[in-house]
Amino acid sequence: MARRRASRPLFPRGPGVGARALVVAVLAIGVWFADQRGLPLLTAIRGSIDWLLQPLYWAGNLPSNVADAGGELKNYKALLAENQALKAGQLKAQARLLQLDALEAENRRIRQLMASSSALDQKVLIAEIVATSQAPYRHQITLNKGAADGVYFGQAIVDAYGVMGQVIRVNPASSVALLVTDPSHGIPVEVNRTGLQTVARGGGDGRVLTLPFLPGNADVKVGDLLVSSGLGGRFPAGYPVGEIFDIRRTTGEHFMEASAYPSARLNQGRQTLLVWSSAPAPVLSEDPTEAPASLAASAAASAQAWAGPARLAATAADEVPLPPLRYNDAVTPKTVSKPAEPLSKPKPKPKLPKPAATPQLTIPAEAAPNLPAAPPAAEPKPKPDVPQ
Amino acid sequence: MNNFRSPSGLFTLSVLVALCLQFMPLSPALSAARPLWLAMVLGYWALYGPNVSVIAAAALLGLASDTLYDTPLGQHVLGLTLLVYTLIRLRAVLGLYPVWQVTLLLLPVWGLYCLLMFLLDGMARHPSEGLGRFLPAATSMLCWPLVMLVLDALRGKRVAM
Repeated sequence: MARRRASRPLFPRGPGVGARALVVAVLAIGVWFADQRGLPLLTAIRGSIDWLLQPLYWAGNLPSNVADAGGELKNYKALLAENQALKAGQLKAQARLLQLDALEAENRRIRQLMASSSALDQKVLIAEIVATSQAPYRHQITLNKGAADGVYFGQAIVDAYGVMGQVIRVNPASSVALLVTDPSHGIPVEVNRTGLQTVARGGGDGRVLTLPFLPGNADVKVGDLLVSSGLGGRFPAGYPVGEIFDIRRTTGEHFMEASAYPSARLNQGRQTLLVWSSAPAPVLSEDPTEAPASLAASAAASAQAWAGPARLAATAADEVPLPPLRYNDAVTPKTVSKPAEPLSKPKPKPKLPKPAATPQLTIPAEAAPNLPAAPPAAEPKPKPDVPQ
Repeated sequence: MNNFRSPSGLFTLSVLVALCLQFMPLSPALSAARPLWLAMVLGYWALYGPNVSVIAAAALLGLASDTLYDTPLGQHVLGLTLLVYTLIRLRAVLGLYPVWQVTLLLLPVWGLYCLLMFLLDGMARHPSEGLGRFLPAATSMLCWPLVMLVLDALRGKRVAM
């Protein structure tokens, strides 16, 4: 073998090179276009290449693993202290969890009253981040769980602090996820304080989210918490997404823009949670057919009786761009919500106000404040219970 | 020091090391300036190597890069193949020049590679920022003498400054 190679001329200028390069280049272009269309065969090929490259992930992580191993040998006392702190924290969390169980049950009852299923207890799976995208303009991570573990396309990933992103490619033994800060990523969110619906897009520099096209009069403040709204069914509702730190109003423009820091610690830690969100999709698919009927029924049944509370709801949720129209329409005349439909712009989804509207019609007083902020509402209460 | 009797052994090893260097996790700031290790090592073998089939290797490594970068399959295959082909065509010319001149002359080659990746990313509608994309071309130029001298030394080739 080696001898045959060595006997070849040092400067091979045969016809072979150009022809081979041409064939490979033409094939590459063909495959490139085919892969844009998402050919299943190519996805399978990519999966098997990825499987072959698993040792490379291991080798690439070797330096940090070695460094970790050095750190692990470090300090017995520090570990002891950490253990105690963790135990204390666990106790607190346990107490809070007890409270949360009751709240969850209450929330489920209320949701059942609203005829929408609860999405609160979800199946999760811990995945380890084995690689981050080394292209600086893409915010992607590779996880060590794949199709074999039931990971699916579009699955949401979260960490202990908020939503991290979603799975965009599933290989047999690994998967690739797009982070919320990637410029091609958008996530439907609501402002926790007001319930304002919007979409948070990745800022592209890896640190911020942007909220473009907020209505000029929207009630948004610096420090507002954004939580996932669950619209579209891809992300589970109620997880923190970010916190607004900047709002820009341009004089003469109809829209303003806000920037937020993501809640999730995107470049810290090596573990994420894969979340199975099951409930939101059927809710949304049922909603458009059922809600107008129920609204029409309730509106027709007691138009003037409900006018008061509904007005209150309308003023409370005044900052939501479109709902005020809808509340008035649904309550006062019989033309229920049809005229509002064509007016609605694509961003704040038209189905949203109904779940917010129905509880005020069915359960008058105490349910309403709970609803927009289901998970954080748990926080003020447990404090008296913590010392147990 | 002729450690590697068969060049294909060193070829495989160098390419694997380049693959590891290319995908070793780095902080984002450093990662933006990461030299094109794969392109450099393949380029070295295309320019100075014995007749190993660099084009086939470029195609395979291109597939690996596409998978690891999650670009459409074929993107890095095309880029690396064209790069290797260009350098094979240039080997008779560049072989005459000393190292530092080759280093300078190769800058446009790395730049064109970056440009091709930039254009293909744009066609695939992946948003990508502008000038930062061409930083690897500059760092590749700086690292080229290192790659060249190390591989020359491992092959036991006479180093011609």
